[in-house]
Amino acid sequence: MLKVNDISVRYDLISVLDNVSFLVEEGQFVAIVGANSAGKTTILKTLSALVSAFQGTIEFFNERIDHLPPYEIAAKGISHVPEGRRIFDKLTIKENLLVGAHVRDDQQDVLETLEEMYALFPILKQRQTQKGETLSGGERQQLAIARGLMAKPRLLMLDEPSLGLSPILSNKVIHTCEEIRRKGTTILIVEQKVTEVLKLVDRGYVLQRGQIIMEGKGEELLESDLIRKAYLGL
Amino acid sequence: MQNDKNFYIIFSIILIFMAVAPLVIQNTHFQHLLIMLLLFATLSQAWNLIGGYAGQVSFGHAVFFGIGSYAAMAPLTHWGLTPWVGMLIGGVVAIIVALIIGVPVFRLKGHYFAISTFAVAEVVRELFTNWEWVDGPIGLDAPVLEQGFYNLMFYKNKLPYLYIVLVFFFIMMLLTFRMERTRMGYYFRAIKQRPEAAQAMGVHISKYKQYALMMSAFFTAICGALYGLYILHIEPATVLSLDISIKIVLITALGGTGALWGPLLGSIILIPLQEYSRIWLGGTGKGIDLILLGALIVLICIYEPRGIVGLLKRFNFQKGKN
Repeated sequence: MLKVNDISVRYDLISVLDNVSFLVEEGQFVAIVGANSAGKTTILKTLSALVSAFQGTIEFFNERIDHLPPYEIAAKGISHVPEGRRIFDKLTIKENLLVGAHVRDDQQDVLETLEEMYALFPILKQRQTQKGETLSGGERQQLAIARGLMAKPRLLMLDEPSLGLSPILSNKVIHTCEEIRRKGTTILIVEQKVTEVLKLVDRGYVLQRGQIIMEGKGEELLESDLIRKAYLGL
Repeated sequence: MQNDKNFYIIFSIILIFMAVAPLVIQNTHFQHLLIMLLLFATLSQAWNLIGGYAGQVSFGHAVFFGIGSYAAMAPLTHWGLTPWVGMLIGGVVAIIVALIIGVPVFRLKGHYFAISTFAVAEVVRELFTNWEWVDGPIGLDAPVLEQGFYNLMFYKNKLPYLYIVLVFFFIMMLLTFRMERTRMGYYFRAIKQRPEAAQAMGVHISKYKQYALMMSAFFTAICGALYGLYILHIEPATVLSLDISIKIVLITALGGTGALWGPLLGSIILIPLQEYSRIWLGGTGKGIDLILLGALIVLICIYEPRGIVGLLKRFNFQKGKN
């Protein structure tokens, strides 16, 4: 479904991503894990063309998308939930969700998805007329994910959804992702919470200083020496 | 929705007041004040579409204003063409100028838009100052024509002007109110707050900024036409001046940017303040009105950046707590 070949990204002269390649198959739950500043966010930004790669190709359903502008990438069915829960503070919850459905035309269909989101995240239904700024951290994350799903994406990309949440909440958020995947959406997640994520995903990639240094099934990675030493401190 | 109902009630009351008050108080100066107030409220609302809702601050709206006044006035002076057609021509030309500014500039991030509006306004002012057909720096005086709606000229009293401006105010407010509730309105505000997140959602941000600017330019030109036809004389130093550009921004900032009632509230305070400070302080106090305006803006920036709308909200909130 998504095939990233050898992409390299530089911010000015500093290399952030160096020949990164990975694959996401349809229906999979895939994670890219790594420490702060490993380049995880940059990968997602490159995929949605907010940042441009100076080298490498990106294919989505066998079609090159690396030269497309952000709005066309979203229209192809790639939805990006940005890091830091970037919801629209001054818009109501419902308005936030409707902006997420920007790429869709059938309004009746959009309203159905809205109801689905309210079923998945009941708190959002209760607060639908409140402004985004009134939400707590956990609620914001739920809104950001729901907003991403409003596009009915073929691929949902999540940027550190657990950042800044309590352990209980972040576990809940990660498990919600699992539920979304079960309903048929392919997910690419980048995370720092290595254990929680790797337990759930089909495939994981470990990113270190802009390079993928390991890949494999989630469970396999958890058992590898490298992950145990570097990320779990065992 | 409760909010919608409130809007319609308050809006109707204001419209009725604006329509009836000049019939009761038959003071010409009061009528003039109301005309200017409504005109600038409409104008600032037009600016608010791009500057307030979409968050792209323009310091050059005089360019659209001036184009509107000249488009109505020049064909009227030279060929006797009805200003209603001139007004539309002005609106269309303003949209074209908006495209010329927006297409290259909205591709860039940052403050380029503000700077370029400023520059374009200066260039256009120079062009008109040196354009013989519109009498360069001297400007145009409206010809004396038969009064009535066709020529948009009324000599006996100001009331017809007032009602015409009131109609445009009505249209502008209603349009903004409806726009706030459409997806386009959400996109504008989303772009203003978090352009990158909006982009990640697939919102074509430069396209929507362009729409906002085009709508804004069109209505600004209409207001320019009305202004020229009411004042009966236009020249580059007034209708294309930085003064006009800044005044539009100040009114909206004072009232509340990106807020439906902001432009009206700003005009209610600024227009009378400006008129009366000029009358009372006269020639000796030239510029004092501007000092007062400046002081007001500084206070607003320090204590309530959301403008008068913000103050009212704060007041409402405290009332709610008690």
